[in-house]
Amino acid sequence: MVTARLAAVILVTLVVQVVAVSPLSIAGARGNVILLVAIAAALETDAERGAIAGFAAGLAFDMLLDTPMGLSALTGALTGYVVGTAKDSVLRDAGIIQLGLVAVASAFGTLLYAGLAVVFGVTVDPGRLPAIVAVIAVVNVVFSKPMRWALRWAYGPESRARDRGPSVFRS
Amino acid sequence: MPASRRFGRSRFTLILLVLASLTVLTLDYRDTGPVQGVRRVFGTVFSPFEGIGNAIATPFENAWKGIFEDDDLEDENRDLQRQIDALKGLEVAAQADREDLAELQRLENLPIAADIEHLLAKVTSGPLTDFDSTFEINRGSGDGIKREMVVMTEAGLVGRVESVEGGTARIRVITDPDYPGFGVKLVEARDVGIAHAAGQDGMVQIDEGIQPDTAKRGDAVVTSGLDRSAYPPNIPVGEVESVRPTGDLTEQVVVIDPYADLDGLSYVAVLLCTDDCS
Repeated sequence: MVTARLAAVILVTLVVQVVAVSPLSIAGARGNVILLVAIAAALETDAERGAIAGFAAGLAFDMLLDTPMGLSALTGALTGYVVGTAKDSVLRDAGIIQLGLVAVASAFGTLLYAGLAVVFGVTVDPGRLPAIVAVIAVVNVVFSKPMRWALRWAYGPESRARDRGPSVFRS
Repeated sequence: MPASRRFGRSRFTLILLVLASLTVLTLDYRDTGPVQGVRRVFGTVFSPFEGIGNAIATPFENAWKGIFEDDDLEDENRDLQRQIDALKGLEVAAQADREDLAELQRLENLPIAADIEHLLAKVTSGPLTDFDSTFEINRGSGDGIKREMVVMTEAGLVGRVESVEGGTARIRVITDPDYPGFGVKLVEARDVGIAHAAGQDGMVQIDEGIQPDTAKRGDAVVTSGLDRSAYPPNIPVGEVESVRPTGDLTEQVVVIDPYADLDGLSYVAVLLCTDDCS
């Protein structure tokens, strides 16, 4: 059931990306809410589920792109895992910190994608990266609330951030 | 479940996902059938959504450009206000139709030899990410379009066909850093060379086989159309914008500003020849 609901969320996100986010170029850059699936899933659950959701959403998006297939999937999996691990280790639930984490994770995921793209033979113009990173971070912060609601529904109440272990910021 | 055991399991899952990604990347790199097949099906299913998205986004994008990317904003605002006052909704729609028709008629007068067959196509969607600079047209293999066919407008060279589906095709533009080199000629100097994307500012540069000192600002550049070339001769490419040194200062390149407006394409023409169009 969780798998079917997660698939539905990914499908809707893909449609939103194609219909509303990709066509809208802001300052020469486009948003990427597919990456947000990995980030929000990791924030709602844990590193493992974040990585799986990021992989699945990235793979679906890869099928629509002309860049090497598997690149978005790899980026999504690594981003989801890193966000889930970082959240479990150091962060509180405060809303502003969560939004900050979405922005930082989006920047991380985008730079990771750019780095991997270069490794796999895609030419990336480094001069455009700051604008791309900024736009993706802002768009993902804007979409983060609805995305987290959707993923909360997909995973159900029982999977919401269980035992998070010790934290350096937690008392 | 203890935290250490959960951590170990999640690491194992991550390793599996990374390996799965690398497998897909390898299969795609080797151009295997199943990967391309799945991609084609997905592309066909999502093609209508891309068209809808483009139609919705265009007014917003124009508004953004109007607000942030125009130096004479006040003048343009006044002009726009006058236009709004003068035109009613129906007239605007009629004008849009007339403009489409005019563009299509202009495309019928392409600057190419009359014996080269071509097909007009509508641009249905732009790139989906900033790492993918292709756009989609509403013609595909069913219309006779094949990979590597040259795409242009009445203004000049646009790019070439990157991939083809039944009813759609994706076009890579000449300013894309991954666009392969193509032969060009300086009209006045009669010098020929190979052009590549300049990698910035939407420019193209001639960086092989040319004497840069023969070029001067404003010189017209066309395709050279040497034997067995997919590019017919004398397709306008752009005009010389500058001659500047390469990054390591050892050579000079001729920077070309393309004639075709590659960001605002509505219709394009695909030349229906692949091997020898010269």
